[in-house]
Amino acid sequence: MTATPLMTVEDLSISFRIEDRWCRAVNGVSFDIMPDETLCLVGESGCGKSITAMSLMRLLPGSARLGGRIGFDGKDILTMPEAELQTIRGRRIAMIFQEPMTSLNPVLTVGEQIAEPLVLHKGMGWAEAKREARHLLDLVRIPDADRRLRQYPYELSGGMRQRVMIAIGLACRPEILIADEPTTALDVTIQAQVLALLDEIRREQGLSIVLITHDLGVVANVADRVAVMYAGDLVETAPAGELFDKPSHPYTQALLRTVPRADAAFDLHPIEGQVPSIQSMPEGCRFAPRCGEAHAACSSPPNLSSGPHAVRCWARRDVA
Amino acid sequence: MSNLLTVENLGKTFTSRRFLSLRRDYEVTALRDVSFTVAKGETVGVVGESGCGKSTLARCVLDLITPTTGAVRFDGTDLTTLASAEKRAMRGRIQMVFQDPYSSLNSKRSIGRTLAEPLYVHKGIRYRDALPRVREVLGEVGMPASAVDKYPHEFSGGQRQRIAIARALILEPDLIIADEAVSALDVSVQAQVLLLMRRIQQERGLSYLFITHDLGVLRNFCDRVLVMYLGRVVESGPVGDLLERPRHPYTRSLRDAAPVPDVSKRQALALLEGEIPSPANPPSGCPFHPRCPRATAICSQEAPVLAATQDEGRRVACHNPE
Amino acid sequence: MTATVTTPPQRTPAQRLLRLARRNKLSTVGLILFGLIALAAIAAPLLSSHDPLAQNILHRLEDRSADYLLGTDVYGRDTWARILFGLRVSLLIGLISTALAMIIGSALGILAGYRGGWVDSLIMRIMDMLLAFPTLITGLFIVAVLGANFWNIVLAITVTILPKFARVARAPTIALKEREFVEAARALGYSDVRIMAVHIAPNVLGEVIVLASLWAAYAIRIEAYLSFIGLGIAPPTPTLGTMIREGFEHILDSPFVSIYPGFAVLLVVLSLNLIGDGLRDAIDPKLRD
Repeated sequence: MTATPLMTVEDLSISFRIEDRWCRAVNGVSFDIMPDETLCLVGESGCGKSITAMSLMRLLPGSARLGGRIGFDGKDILTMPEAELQTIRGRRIAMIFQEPMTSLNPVLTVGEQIAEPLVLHKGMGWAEAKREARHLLDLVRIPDADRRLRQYPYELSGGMRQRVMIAIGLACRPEILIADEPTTALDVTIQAQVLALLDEIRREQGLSIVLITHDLGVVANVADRVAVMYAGDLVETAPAGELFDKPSHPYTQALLRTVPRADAAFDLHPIEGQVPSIQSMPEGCRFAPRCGEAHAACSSPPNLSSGPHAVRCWARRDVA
Repeated sequence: MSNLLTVENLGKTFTSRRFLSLRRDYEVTALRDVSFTVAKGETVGVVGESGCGKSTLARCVLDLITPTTGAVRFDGTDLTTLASAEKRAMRGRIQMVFQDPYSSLNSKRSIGRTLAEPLYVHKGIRYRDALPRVREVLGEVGMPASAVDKYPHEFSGGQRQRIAIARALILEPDLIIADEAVSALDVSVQAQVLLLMRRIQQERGLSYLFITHDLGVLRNFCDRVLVMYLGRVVESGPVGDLLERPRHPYTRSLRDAAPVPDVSKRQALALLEGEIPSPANPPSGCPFHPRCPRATAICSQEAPVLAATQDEGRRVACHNPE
Repeated sequence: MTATVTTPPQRTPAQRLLRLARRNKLSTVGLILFGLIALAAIAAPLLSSHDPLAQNILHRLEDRSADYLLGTDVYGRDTWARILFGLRVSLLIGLISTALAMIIGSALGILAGYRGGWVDSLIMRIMDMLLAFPTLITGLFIVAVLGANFWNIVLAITVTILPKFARVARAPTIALKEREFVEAARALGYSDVRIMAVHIAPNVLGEVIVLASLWAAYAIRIEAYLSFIGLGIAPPTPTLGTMIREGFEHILDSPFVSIYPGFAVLLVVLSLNLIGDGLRDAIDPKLRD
């Protein structure tokens, strides 16, 4: 475990101004992205996983206030000049989204959309870019590539469109691919195909994947490491095997008990209460109001413990 | 157990015929020869991927769309032959909970108005007289009585879904059709709503027709299940038995593609080749044969019928069942 | 960003109005202006010492004076009084016809959008036919055939602007029809009339009202056009359009007889347009926070 991280996120916080008040949507999150791994950011809606992912490329609207540091190649993405960011976005870090229909331009052919970043970022000619696009379609296992290149997005199924999005993301051979709920809009049999494809590509191309998802089943199947988020806090991070075998944070434990599983019928244990609103976050540990083990110390915020299996909880000082 | 709902040979073909249109007419068969029953107090799940016809099925049972063929018998009465006034009266007994709690409530109406409206339309009860009943139902779904004067935007998704359930309950239905009713909710809230629905079922003895794409929810909430593919029921039976020993290759693929939150069960997710065909242009014979690992010559020529197996309550539509 | 549960802070309607006013100063100006004009029209008998119909040959085409605030017209009638009373007629015609067009047009648009099929085709083709004529021509035709009186002019203006409301109401109805709450209403056994009136109409209202404030200005202009070419309300009843026409005959020697009522039309139209723009900004979700 001495490999150097590709990217280091340190104490990242993101605030938005809502109704004349600054609200912290992401609250001091730290994690590393190692070379050649799949890191899953998992959590429910409002936990901040998506905006954390967007901030890795500084894609957030200008109204957001960012704090902390995102180290990439010895530089800080958060303070980098916009011109320098342009040389990273799409080239060294690429992103794919949940809804492949709205992320593709309906009036351009698949071929043009895959070729575009190659022409823009790599300075290829259109003819060369088209050849490369054909190769990329092979890479994402789209059969009959020549015909597909001439088609428009509406002519493709949801699964095919997501493959095209992946091809666009891979066009410039990025080092990190950020995938925000890439299979949520797909049927399960198609989801399985896309997940398998992402895993194969990661192996072949040696890139790192940051997968954002709400689905613990997906996490269990593809993650090398997992970071669990809740209400803007990173509450637990661990290698995937350890997280599922020995979940430590009360939230992670509760989450695993509440997911209905297809392989067994068991009693569902809901987590009582609701995710707090961004405008009224609890002081201290943000999970405390819903936590069965909350005690006096939880009224002040706990820190993330150190080590490969880190937990942010007052009741779990002993693990790690 | 007596059957509350009996669906016989239900079929629905959507046709598009446009007056003076240059485009050719087209036909999409969304449902083909679907038959099943729901007993009193039972939960029947319907599972399948997009284009399998599960939403069309729900809307046919509710009579929101008129089926092309077949009959929907509810408590002994064939709904498809009723006059519209009788239909409307019957609608109180079958209710629906929709997927998206953000769009299924009218944002311009207060919760109290939304919940009292069915009582006014069906029983002529004025708003003020309906309020005690509205508060009671809100309490039943775990919402405070003060919700009456609030509007949908003041609630979270899970709370809105509770309100939608309260609206379905207010006419005291015998059957609730839940169309992906927990799919849009976060898992922690999803379990709350499922437990609520189960408690209501135990207290009132009502039945659910529960449409879902999530096998985990299916396994933990339903008694029996219909697996649908391209408008047909391909397999049916008790949920536990069916998922543990699937006999139709599609059921197996579906089960093996569903990720389970357990690293020890990690394997390359079983991959089903190919895509779901368009319902507008379905394959010949068995609709699943182009993707089926067990397909033989007959599968592309002749559609299998849903037939009983030697297992209790299990039916399968396959030429080469497992 | 994924959806978060937010509870917007509670504001009283007055606070919301103030917030809106602070953001959109121009439309507040419009609102105040229109309020003053409407007030002046309502209080016309109190604000003028002269009878708007009383002729006085001795004071023809007089200039402004303490007695005649804005001078007199060719029959020696007080222009100030005639503008105030003219405003009453013009505003009444404009607002009644816009209200009628809004109610009937939106009802037709909602019906067309909700029912679809041949009902939609029939209603919308008729609306297209009406829209195909230049608006003034439709109005002219109706008044010319039926004769010029108050209600015929209202009818003419209503028919000319009604198709715009039908179009604007139809589009969101088609979108709303697909929303689950409409399907839920059908599942609860509500009648189609109830669904359209109670569930769809309030959701369409916002866009329709924006349109109404803009088209009310247009309706007042049509009234002025019709009066100007002699198809308005019969004299001696003052309307802004008739006053402009009567003054026009003496435009070279005493231009102000036309210019004052013309200015009144301008103020009314301007105030309504400002209000309309403000409302559109307030309702357009893209411009909201």
